[in-house]
Amino acid sequence: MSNIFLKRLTKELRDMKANPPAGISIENADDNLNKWTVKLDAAEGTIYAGESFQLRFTFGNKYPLESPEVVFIGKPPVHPHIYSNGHICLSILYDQWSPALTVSAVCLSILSMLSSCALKELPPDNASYVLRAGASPKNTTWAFHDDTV
Amino acid sequence: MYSIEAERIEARTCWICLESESEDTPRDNPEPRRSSRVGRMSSLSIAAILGNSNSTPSASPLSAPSSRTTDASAWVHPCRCLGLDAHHLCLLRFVAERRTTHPGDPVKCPVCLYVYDIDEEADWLGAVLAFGDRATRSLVPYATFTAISATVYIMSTAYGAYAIVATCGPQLADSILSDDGMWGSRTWIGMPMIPIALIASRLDIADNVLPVLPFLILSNQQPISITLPPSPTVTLCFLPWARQAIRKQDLVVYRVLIYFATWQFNNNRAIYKEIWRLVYHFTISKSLTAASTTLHPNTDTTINTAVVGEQQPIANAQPQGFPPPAPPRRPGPPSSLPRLLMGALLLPAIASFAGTVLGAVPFLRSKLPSVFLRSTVGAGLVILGRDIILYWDFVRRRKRAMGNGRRIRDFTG
Repeated sequence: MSNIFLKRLTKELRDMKANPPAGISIENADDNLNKWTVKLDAAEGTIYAGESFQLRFTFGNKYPLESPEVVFIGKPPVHPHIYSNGHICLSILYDQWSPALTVSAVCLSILSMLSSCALKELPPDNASYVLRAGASPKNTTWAFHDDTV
Repeated sequence: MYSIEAERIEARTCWICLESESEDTPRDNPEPRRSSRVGRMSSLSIAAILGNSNSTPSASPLSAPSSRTTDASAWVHPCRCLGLDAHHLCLLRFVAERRTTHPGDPVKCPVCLYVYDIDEEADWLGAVLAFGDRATRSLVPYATFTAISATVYIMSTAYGAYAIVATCGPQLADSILSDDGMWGSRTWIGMPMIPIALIASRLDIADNVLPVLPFLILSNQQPISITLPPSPTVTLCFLPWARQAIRKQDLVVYRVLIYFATWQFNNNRAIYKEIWRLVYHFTISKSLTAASTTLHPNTDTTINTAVVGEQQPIANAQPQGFPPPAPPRRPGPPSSLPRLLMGALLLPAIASFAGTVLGAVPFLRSKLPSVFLRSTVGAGLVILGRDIILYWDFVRRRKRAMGNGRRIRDFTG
């Protein structure tokens, strides 16, 4: 089982280091590859221009059959789908995950989510969610209802 | 220039482990890695020269349904998605994972949602279990509903039995409940209906049904004979009508009783006229009607001071430019569900208690010989008394809200 895990992550890491997509860079990946830190640089011309954020990927040993846990660490961007504890409300990270997605595809999705945002504001239920949410966003039952931002 | 498109067509990449055809097969040791794309390119060209890419599809074991086991290097292209090829083993793991996380659901391509055509041994046990699992899942709401209804039904029946014992006394209850083992519709439908009827009697949802309900329920008995004191049957038939009369007349009875209690009538003739009107015409005088309309804030009527005890018309009581304060809530249906349930379901206990108190008076005991009658009269008196007190309090608070009956004294010190 971990055979696929290692192969796949080695390959993804190599590809992302060889030609990283714009605005995405691997800061750190530990030796057994199950925790990565990725730096996102917000695109120019967006409301987050000039800001950079850190994402932490945690891969379970069923990856890529199972989605990675992706959260912002440090100071998360202020965005209607990103909670102040770093949890991200993005369907492909939870029930819409498929092995056809990759770390770089997830990063690009999050970057585009930031780019298409017009107004920096917290999710409406931020306070109550942060209060009751567990450590991992994968334990949350997400309801995805807004495709505009 | 390096062409990604060309590579995709030339060398397939497994969309699960991301390995391309030219690289190691899944079974091989994953350690040796070429670190640059140039390296892969060269290996790719070697593979092309050797003609690997052409020979593999025909060697795919999937084309031979007889053998389901496969070697690790085999490739599949299970749907029409261009470029979504996978190692057979990787895809099998994906299928196995989906089968455990979504049992019973068909496994689909995550991109084009094509249902994979999987040739597998008929898994009868698994199919039966999956069917059972799905059936259980779909039955859960119905089962829960049935269980809750049964619980409510049994509790209602038990409560009905308790209510009968409490209000009718042991002897009558015994004759009602022990029907020689012949439990008919009255037991199966009537008893569970008792708490529901009690709750309904506190609301106005069943106003149109309640007066005829006793006749419907008791119709299988002998002709109802009017005696004095009335039999339980007659009492039961009379109760909804009494309730309706009291409610429909907009608390007239309470008001008249309050006037008695507070001596606010000027002379005795007014009282007699009022009672006569109430008994004979089943209505009230204009002055009382006017008093009742002032309960609604929208109507502005001048108030008969002698009758209601108001000192001024409402309009004059308000300072200019201020909205009138919200009038206090008049006594009526209970304000919350717990109060409604408590009030309705406590009634038999209250009736039983009041009946016992009435029974302690020898005179009343001789006039009201049966336990049921005493309970009924007792409960009626308790309700009447409570409503009179509430209504009295309401009238007082309403006066206060309108600025009457309360005055702030000037500073004299």
